[in-house]
Amino acid sequence: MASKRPSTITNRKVLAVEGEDEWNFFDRLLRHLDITGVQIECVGGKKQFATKLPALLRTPGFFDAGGHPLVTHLGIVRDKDEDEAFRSIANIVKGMNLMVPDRHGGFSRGSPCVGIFIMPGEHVTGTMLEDLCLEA
Amino acid sequence: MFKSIRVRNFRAITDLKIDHVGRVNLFVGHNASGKTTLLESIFFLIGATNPKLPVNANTFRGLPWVSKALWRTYFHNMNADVPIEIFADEFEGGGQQRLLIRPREERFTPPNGDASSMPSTSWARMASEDGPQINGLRLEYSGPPDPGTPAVSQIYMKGEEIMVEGMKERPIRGTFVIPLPLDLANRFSEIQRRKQVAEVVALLKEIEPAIEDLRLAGTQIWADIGAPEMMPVNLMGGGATKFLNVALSMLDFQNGFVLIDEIENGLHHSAQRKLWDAIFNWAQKLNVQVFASTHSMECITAFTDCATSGLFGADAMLFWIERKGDDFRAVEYTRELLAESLESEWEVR
Repeated sequence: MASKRPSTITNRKVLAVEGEDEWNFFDRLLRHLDITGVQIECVGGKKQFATKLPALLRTPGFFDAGGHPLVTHLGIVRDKDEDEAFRSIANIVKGMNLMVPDRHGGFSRGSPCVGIFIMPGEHVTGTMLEDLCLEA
Repeated sequence: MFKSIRVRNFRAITDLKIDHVGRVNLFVGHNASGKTTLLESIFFLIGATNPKLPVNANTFRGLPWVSKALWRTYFHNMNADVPIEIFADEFEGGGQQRLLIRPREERFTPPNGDASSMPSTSWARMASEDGPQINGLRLEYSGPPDPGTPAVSQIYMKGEEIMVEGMKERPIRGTFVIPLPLDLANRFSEIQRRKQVAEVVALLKEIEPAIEDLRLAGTQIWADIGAPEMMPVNLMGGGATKFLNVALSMLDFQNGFVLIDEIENGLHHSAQRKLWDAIFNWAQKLNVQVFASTHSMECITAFTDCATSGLFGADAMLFWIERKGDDFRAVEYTRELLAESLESEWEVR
């Protein structure tokens, strides 16, 4: 099993998730789907995105020495919990001078492309990733 | 106090800009990423009207005190056609300071005008090469209060002698902490005059609890550790010497700058937090701006613990200096961001 917390960014695609449970879920899901090249990073809770995402962007391997992104795609996954979840993450992304996607589930055209994924998704009743799993 | 710094064409650095400099700053990065060069450039700027400083910096690196071959090494890629530029903006409307360093060139001619008649002399060797030779550096400093009139100074070789011209009596505003400074006794003497020895003793007690007092006798600093006789402070170990060195530098350069390369050297990890506590405390109390470098994660952790403890309210910044080829950047970490990265075990070096 890959380390949960690699010290540097070594993949071109990064998925930032809330906690350990989400890390385990997406790690196994990507393995099951045979998707490689995605680095999953845990921020430690939905309230941590505001402080952890700027720190994640500073981690060696995210940008090169010229300030150009090495990471092509940054996906951010958090539970809905309340109605403003997308806006909350969008504001954080905007504050980091990255391009914000128009909606949940899509990627922006920026560099890196940023995707915001609010669980359990638009068409599933509930407020969290677990609801999506139950629905499936 | 500087709030931003920019260095261009100095040694390995092509162009490196650091915004949002704090009161206490720690530079990290791989070997040859430019950390020491960055400290040197700040050193040059704070003593910009003293043309001896570039030569002093080379001695800190273990290079010969002076050599004709070394003049080019200050310039990026040894290309002296492109001048070195060091800029800094100061807080509180202090304006911009700028130091431009160019080669000082001279076309050598032997005393009798015939190089071939003196094949064994350095004059003849210099004259046999094409074009003007670099025989020194020319420093042009501009800044407050008269930014329009640069202060020009030069250091150069005349024969085998080092010549200095245009050096101003402007007091140097800071110091580069080196392992065995020659002026430690002078510095201690000044601290003694200001009745600050007790503060130094208190810090040294953190690493050597037996120490009761420090005294200057001749050029030697002696420590009272309760033995029948005092002992030279140099014999108390590398940690105590480091603490003493940093303490004297901080206390001696009130309202100035202190530069410390590889600050963790000679210190057990448990001592690093104590040293940072003292540095943060004095930096705020004495209005000293500190620039240090390290490779050590333990040192970064101690720095962060100290900065986030909030005891002193000083603003701490860490800059990861990243280099790839000729590209340089300084990745800025506030103490909050640094704490977040360390908590997540994300690399910051």
